[in-house]
Amino acid sequence: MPTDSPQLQTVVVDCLPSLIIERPLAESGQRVVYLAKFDDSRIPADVERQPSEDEPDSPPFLYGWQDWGRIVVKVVAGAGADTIARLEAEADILAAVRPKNFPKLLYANHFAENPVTEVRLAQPLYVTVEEFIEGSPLEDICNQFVGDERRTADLALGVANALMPLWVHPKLFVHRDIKPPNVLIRTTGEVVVIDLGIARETGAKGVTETGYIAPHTPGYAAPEQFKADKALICFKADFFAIGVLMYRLLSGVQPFHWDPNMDRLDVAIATMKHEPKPLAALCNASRVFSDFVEKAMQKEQFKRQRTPDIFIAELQALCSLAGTNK
Amino acid sequence: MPMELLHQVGHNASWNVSSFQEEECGDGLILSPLHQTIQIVEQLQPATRATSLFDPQFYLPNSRKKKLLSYPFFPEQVDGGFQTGTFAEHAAQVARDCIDFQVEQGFRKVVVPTRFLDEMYPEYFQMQEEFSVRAFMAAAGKGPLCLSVAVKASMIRHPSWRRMLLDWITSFHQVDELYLMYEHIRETKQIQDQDFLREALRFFREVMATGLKLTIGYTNTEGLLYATVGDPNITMGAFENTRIFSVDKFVESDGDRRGPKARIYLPGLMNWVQFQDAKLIRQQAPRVWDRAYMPTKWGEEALAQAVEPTFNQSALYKHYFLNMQSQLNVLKQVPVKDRRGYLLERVADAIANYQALPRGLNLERHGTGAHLAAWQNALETF
Repeated sequence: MPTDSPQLQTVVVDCLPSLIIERPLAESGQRVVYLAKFDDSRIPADVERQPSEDEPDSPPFLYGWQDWGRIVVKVVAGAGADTIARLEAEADILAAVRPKNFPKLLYANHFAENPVTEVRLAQPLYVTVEEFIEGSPLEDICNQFVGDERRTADLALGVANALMPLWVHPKLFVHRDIKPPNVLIRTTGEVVVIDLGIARETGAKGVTETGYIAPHTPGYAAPEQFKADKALICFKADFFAIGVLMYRLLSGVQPFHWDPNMDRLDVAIATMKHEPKPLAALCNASRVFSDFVEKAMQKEQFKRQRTPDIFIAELQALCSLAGTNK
Repeated sequence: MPMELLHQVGHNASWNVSSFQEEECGDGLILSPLHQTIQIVEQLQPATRATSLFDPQFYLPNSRKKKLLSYPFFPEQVDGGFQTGTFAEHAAQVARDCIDFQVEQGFRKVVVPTRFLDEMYPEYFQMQEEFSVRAFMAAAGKGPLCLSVAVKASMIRHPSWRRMLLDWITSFHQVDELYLMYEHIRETKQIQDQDFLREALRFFREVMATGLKLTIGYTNTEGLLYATVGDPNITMGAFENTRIFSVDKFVESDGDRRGPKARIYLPGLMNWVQFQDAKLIRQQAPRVWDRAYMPTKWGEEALAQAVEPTFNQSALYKHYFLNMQSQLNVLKQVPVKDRRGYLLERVADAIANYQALPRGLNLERHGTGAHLAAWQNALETF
């Protein structure tokens, strides 16, 4: 797992010489994440201002990037081909889908050598630059949702609406990693989903063949994510995670126990065998809210809401009902 | 949506078409490229196409059957002949062309074809997706779509396979209808396998609980039992290979074959009986006959003939279509919760009718009531 260090920051700035790193943000998966910005006045004189002849439609390297304002830079150092392929897949998905409620991907590149000096790097870097979203990470404000059905349903609807372009895209993408650290709430209240690092096409072969079990976050991953048949992972894995998210937000309780000391099998068993207490019994949630979450968290995919349209329609109904009951 | 009875079109497709168009028997057709060229399909009345499904029948993609090859998007027509290894390169174009055809022809819904895999491969779903399903889903846009799936009986029997099937079928957001057919290999014409029927009923109930519309293809008269789980669509076909699913017909020679003896459907026995045996029942057990036979103009015509009808004349099949329609019309009036009881009564009636036949009247083995105990048990235990 790469970690922030002065050396890493130096190498990143060597590759992107007009970059000013403000501070590290929370690490995300296998990536080090920085809050940063570009300063065009720092672009070395020998950086070509014109687009390359090979790609005349591409904007020139570094020039004008200052206009992006504050940005998020994600860096992976020394990653294997599997990880790089996964990150490139994320970039491809963002480019293909251009979902409104995801941060804009501004730049992505795999650096095997310093682009200015052409000296080979000790460790190759994969760097992405994304729009910085002003807002609160859901992780920091989870407690504000406890006992509030309307707010929880609104949040879940926001997440579902953000994911809809993925789910209905012709390639049938799945996020596969919905959890509080991957949800931001803009100051306007709009929900933004981040980190498509383990998103993939339904049924597509994974970018890695080495892992028997698909990438996942314990505690939020659906039972099918612990199994080998990746063809069966679809949007319903995201329904499951949204159900877990709603459960946790409303009750303050994590429905499927896990801790970092549990091995993979224990985590899988905790998800596949444990039946969380219904929210109606746990925290006196309304029957309709409790039933929705229970259905979303069904172990058997086919018992969850059948389509994204149905899922969203039921969430909208929940929001209306919760508003009425308020 | 109420339960529908669809014609499973096969050899002599015009019988199904005339039964539907002229006698208003059935709710639509499931067209068969194996038996209908593209020109014939295009000449159907638009109103007929609008209530019908077109099954692209990619079950055996390297089939060389002549009528199938009249469809330019049939896999064997692509790139000089179907090759598993290279078909993926053409799958997107095939999907677009096949969908365009179905949309242009105005069928009730676009049917997504799948391949019939005769083994329960661990990569079954991946193979299906790579063959055609993913390309069709991508080309079809928002849908709604009807996914066709041909399974082996063992996939339905086995709970974990059933679950995987359900998970897979419901993983496509555009799919709102499943067109399912099962290969149940047997030596008997009727299903006598109560375990299979019980598990099939459970499977169908589970499919319908997801909210999907279910169309069960290639059903014989056991299709009536499926009304127990709700309102699935069932099918009726003329020749036996439209009432039992098998891919054999995609490879069998078209040459002349010796036909089977003619049979007539007797709804009060819930079975087909050899025509000669039926006439013996009418003669020797008129009371049973009255309970078992449901007259139609086609049945009357056949019974009035001096010469016994042959298997390749339409009258007895059209009689069957009308009988099935009548039985289903009655069944549809019964609330779903009461249908199990209603069907158990009908099966018990059929058993009683068989028992009331004279001892010396020995029916040909497929015409006996050997299937009814299994049907009864399946209904009681599912």
